[in-house]
Amino acid sequence: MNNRKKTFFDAIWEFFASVKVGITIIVLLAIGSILGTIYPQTNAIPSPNPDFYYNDTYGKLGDLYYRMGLADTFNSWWYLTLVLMLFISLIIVSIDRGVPLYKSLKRQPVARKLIAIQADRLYTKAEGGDAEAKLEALAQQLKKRRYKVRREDGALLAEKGRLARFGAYVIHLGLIITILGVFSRLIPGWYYTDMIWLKEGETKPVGNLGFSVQNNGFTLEFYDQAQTRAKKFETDAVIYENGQATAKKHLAVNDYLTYKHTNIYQNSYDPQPMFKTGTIELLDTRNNNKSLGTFVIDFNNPQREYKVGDYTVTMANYFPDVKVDPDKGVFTNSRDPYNPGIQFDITGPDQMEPARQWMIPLAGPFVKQMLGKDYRFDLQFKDVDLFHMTGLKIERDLGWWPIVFPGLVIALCGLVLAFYFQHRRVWARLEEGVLHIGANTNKHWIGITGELNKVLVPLGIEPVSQKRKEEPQQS
Amino acid sequence: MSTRSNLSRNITILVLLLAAIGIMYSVFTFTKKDPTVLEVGQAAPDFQLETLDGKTVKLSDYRGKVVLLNFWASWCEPCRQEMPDIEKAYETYKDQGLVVLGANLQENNVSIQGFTDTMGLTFPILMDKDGKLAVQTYKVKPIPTSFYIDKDGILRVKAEQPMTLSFIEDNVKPLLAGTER
Repeated sequence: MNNRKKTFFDAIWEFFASVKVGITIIVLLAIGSILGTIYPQTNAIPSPNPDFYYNDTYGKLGDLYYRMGLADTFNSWWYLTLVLMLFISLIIVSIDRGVPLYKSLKRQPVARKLIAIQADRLYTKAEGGDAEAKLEALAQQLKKRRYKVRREDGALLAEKGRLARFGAYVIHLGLIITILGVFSRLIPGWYYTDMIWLKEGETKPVGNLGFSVQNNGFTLEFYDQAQTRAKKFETDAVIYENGQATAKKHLAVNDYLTYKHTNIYQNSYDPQPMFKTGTIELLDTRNNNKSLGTFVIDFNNPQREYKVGDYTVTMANYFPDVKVDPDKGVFTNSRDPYNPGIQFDITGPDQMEPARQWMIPLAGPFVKQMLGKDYRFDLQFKDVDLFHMTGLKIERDLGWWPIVFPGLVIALCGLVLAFYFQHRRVWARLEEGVLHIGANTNKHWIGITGELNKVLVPLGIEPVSQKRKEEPQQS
Repeated sequence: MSTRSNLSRNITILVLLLAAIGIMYSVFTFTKKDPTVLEVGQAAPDFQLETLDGKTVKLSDYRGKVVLLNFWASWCEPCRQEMPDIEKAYETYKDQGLVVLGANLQENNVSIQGFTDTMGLTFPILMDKDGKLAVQTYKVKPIPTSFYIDKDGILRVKAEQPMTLSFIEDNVKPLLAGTER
């Protein structure tokens, strides 16, 4: 060691090599990930306007959540910085401790110092004239037990499971590969994810991937009459590329379509139905509710005027998602016909002055009273067609199978190595006619004690037992 | 610690830090999905769209006039708030050469007609049916967003908040006078 001053590089190295720093990063990542699951992330909400969605759906807390950037936790600069710090820490820790460990195990001498052997937690000795033969027999027996046995004159080193010592570093390697795989998403074209909400018949382009998805029909079934538990929800999806239908599939949950390495999943549906079309009957209240005829409204794209017999029905105001507020008046919450509110002007042979009246099918009695009653006409739905928007998840991740998945498998193997495999070593040394035997393992002492005694007892050597001198040490 | 391992250690740190910076940089450029934002001072992108009453409007036809291009929707509360003031400004300054174009975002004609009738709007309403004008051409993020375009077709002001009459006047007057601000 020299007494060089610590450089900038040394400081960085020591920072990232520190176990404390590593654990702190992991804890922070865990906390960040937990925060990211409190409310749905922006890519999973059924609204293109996160500015309003969080406030409307989750109130003040939701608004705060969105404003703090937690609605996009996993793409935030601080989260990615933590992941990168973990990445650097894993590499530096592995070099800082893995490489010296590898070197020291590779260079370990066969003839270990006698004092060291005697100080082993497992130690025994055999005296007598046949010590040399016992050493030979010991070597043979340990070989049978799949130890790698090395000999020098009068000395023995038997070792097995050295790889177990590198379990932690295999985990590191797996995680490093996994993180690389995750960042492979930055390669243009490698990664894309989005939620697409489609009305029936609607077609929307999928990002800039060059194709569009059409909802050719959405079916929704419930287990119960009250329609609380969805049984199945499925979409007939068609893919269009350059105006041509190039693929189609009946999408169901867990039964997805893969098109150009892009998976299209049935993910969800909008629980609130929208009005599609409705057949409305015009009734004359002055004449025993006599039917004057019917007309059909397309709620997504209505006409302004309808001819009903001799009468003309005009949509003077149409609020697709009506809200009647005592202070703010009547307005629409969105452009989607969740809750249509229509103000009609009706004229006819006996009604020259237009009769203006509201029709809000979903309105409660309070709103109906507020907007007035005693209308000249009555408008009744004869038939109404509702639909639900389907929510499709689009995901392309080219790095998953070739990089992330193997990385996770490696990390899992590392876990198994670290937890279920042991590095066992046995040293023996013949010194002045006495055979000294010492043994060491990095864990599971009972196992090696039993194994060693199965070898030693038949050879007539006193069995080993654990000395409680000090805690087991890793070298 | 030998000099050699110090060197390789320093190189490792350097490579890792550079890689980290590189990744953060590409994350930053990657997540900024729409890098182009319309900036004040550049020429207003031209477009041609149908209006609510069935006419076709082309932005470049209004060269020589001051254009206030307002993006709105009837479900947007701040849009509803600013509408009367925009109408007032239009009525006051249209004779001096102010043109107001209200670009509606993807609503149906009947709803828009009802809205303009109720509000008493007299300026032309552009029907941005597929949202292309707002999203692709003018990169509008929140609504309401308003652009003030001078007589030479240059974007002069971008307002991403509901406007008051005095705010509109403050922006429109110098443009109508033709003086550089």
